[in-house]
Amino acid sequence: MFGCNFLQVLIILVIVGLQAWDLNGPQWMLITNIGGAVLVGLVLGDVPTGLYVGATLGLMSLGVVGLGGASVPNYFISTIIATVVAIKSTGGYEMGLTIGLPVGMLFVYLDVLQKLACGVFARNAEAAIDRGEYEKVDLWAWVGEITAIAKNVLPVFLVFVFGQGLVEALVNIMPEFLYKGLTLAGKILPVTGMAILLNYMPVKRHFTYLLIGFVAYAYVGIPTLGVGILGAAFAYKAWLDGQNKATAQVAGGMEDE
Amino acid sequence: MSSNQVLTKKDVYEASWRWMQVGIGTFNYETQLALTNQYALRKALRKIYPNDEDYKAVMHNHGKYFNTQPYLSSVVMGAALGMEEQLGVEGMEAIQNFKVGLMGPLAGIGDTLFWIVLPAIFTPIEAAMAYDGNLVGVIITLVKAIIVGALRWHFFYWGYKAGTAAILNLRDQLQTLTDCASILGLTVVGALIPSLVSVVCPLQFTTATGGVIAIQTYLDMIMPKLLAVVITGTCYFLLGKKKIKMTTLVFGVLIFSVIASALGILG
Repeated sequence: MFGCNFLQVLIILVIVGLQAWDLNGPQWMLITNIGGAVLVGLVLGDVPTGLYVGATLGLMSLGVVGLGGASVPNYFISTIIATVVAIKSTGGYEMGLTIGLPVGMLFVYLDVLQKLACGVFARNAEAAIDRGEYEKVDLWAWVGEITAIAKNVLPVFLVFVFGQGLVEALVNIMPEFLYKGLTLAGKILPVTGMAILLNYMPVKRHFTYLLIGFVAYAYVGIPTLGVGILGAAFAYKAWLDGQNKATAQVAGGMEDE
Repeated sequence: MSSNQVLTKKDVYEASWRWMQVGIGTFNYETQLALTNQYALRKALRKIYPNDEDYKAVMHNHGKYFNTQPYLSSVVMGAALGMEEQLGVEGMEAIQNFKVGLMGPLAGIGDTLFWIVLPAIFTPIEAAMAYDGNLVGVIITLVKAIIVGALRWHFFYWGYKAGTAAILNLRDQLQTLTDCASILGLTVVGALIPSLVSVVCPLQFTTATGGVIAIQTYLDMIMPKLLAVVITGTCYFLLGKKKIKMTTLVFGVLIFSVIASALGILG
């Protein structure tokens, strides 16, 4: 259990469970990757490591969303596992990524299985309605929800139970050059998130603003939050322009009549 | 709406809360979010349809294929509940057409706004501060989540109140909002690329006269954070133009990193 006591493991599993319910329920998105890593950091007494691991995986996860029911890697459970391993093992941050990333990617298979099972639950609910057992709809809806939460909690639980031996074995056999490579990978991986994000956004139409943001930071040295405020100013201007255009069109339409 | 009104505000909010309880947890490949819709509307529909036969028919009607961005699902299902109250069993086909008609357009715009653009604005700021060991970004993002969550709490009731006609215009309004938010998001991402990619080139050459030439110094002369731009541009190109899968790209980056660091090209 990576030297964690029972209570610490329990709290971490509850955090994963709550995030999973939020994600599969109201989607308030209260616990982000970075927020989750900070919580784990609090539980294990090392918030700075949590922040660092969370930032890397938080950026990687940008644009990785299961649109239209697609199954995508679960970087939240990657984050939680990576943070635990980074804090609690001698392998550090690099070993955290080595264990956390594959688990988050294998999640995809569990996700497909659970969604297939939900097909059965939905048919069961339909059959119950036919029989006039309407309250059974609640049962099958919650069976779906609970399996959805379980598919997030289970991998983290399994890593707690079986992971330590694997991590120790890996720490012993991993050569120095692999460690260095993983350190570099940790610097480059956040880019993959940004690259997906850019593919979803109207980059061609609003390339101007991407350039302005770059220059403001890289040449002028304005901090990220400051650049954010600058971006808000541009967005507000675009909003007002949009409103004016709409009004002008309405006014123009009136004249024609 | 007065003539047929049997639902109280409390009933509508209960249906809304029930939708949120199980959300996308019931997603399946055949009917997608139909089970969540049935779970959400079950009690409200019973009030509208005391007759068992009608009730069964409309419950099965909501058991048909449905899926759109979840926040907007709430708006659509709220409006659908309003239609049920107005039209009764006669409205079954109209309600189904209304739901199916909005699914596609609202999913496209809703996914972009809520799942792409909104995180594009907040996650970079959160992460940039986190790298500096600063918790303020985490708190800003939490405040955002609470504000969005508070709005989302009312989406279902808004749909119910606004009715079907207003929702047909929703897409245009969201389009404008998304466009403005994209401007903000891209400005932030523009700053994010140089701020977070801290890769440098450690290569150095010693000249015949004993001077040391560091490649990174020359790269910085061309443009600050040149490597960050090149790496991001390459990944963007591979994903977009070359249609490489995200998982492939992640493994590609891992292998590339090990080779590049072993050769001492990047660090």
